[in-house]
Amino acid sequence: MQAKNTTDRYGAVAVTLHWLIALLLITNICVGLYMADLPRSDPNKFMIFQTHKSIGLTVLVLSVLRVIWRLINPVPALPPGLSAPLRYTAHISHFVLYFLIVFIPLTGWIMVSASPLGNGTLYFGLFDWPNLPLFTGMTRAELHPMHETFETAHVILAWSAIILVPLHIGAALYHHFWRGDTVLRRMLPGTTIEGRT
Amino acid sequence: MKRIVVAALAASCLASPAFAAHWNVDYATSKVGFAVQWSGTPFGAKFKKWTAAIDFDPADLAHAHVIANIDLASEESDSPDNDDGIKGATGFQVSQFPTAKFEATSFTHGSGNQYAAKGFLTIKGVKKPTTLNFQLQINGDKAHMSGTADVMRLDWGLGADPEWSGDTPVAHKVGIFVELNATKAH
Repeated sequence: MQAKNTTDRYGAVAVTLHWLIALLLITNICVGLYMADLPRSDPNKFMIFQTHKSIGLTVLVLSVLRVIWRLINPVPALPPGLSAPLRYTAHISHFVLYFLIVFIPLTGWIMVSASPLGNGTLYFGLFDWPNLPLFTGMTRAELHPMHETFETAHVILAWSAIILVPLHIGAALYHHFWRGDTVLRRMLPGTTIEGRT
Repeated sequence: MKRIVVAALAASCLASPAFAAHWNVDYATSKVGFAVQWSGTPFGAKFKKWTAAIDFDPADLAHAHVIANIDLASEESDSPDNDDGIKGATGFQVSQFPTAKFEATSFTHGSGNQYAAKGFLTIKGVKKPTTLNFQLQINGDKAHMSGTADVMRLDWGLGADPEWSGDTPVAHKVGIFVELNATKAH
């Protein structure tokens, strides 16, 4: 399995990024849903928030790399025989998924940067991750609506992923089991694409 | 032992400030609050509800006595996000400890109109010695006092959890301030 994509399948770099991001994103959405309702008195709240922020920033870095990698690599073509509406849906949903994996963590980072409380992010306990310098000089009263706005955006985008990711998984399974094409296999590690490689 | 205590109480009553002036605080023009560096910028908050019982005569400091009770749930800044945390479990924990108390029984006169009130400040069930330095102007029956006390919040376990125990974003040193107008009671 080569590092770069071919017109038939995704290469090792894209495959690794895809599954790493999938694992981290799904984990973090679960953590996010759990911690949203935690009372302030919960003794683990700080640790949970710090972990959520650390995972999210990891997703952001991996997703930016993934988008760049995607732009400088060939993209495997959709399988033949797909109807125009399906091809259109596939392209749109892939575009939205790329958008979400960048903008869910990015809006999270922005909302943290706009927090009137100002608690920083200790990346997996290793080093201080900086805040985005978007709100310097603002008073706490001015920060409050900014924080709320980006929190709302973060939540809406996360819910978009909660809806879209199962559809994405469903579509992959549909391609694999129903249509019997190579769409799922070309994103799996180490699988040779039948009849083509 | 009991007799000694009773005797001591009786003696302290006899020695109590029969002539120390009592002052009525004008709460509308007085304020109590604190300031702390938070995320590198000053954070200031006031308490909207508090009371102070003041017996003070500059000529008789030995009998001066002040008790102030502060309703911690009345803490208010311009940022409700921060106020929630300050009153919450890691902060004042107002649900369990609604009141802070400062009792000063030892007063000293510095130069000019400078004084110091030494006493104990009780927050969240922790009682620690605290000194309030203040300036005092008395004009007839009217008095204006302005004072500050620098304290270390962790002495009272305020923000002692991992999230807030560092010197950032909330500094350990907190400046308590008091601005007080009072009228002598007759």
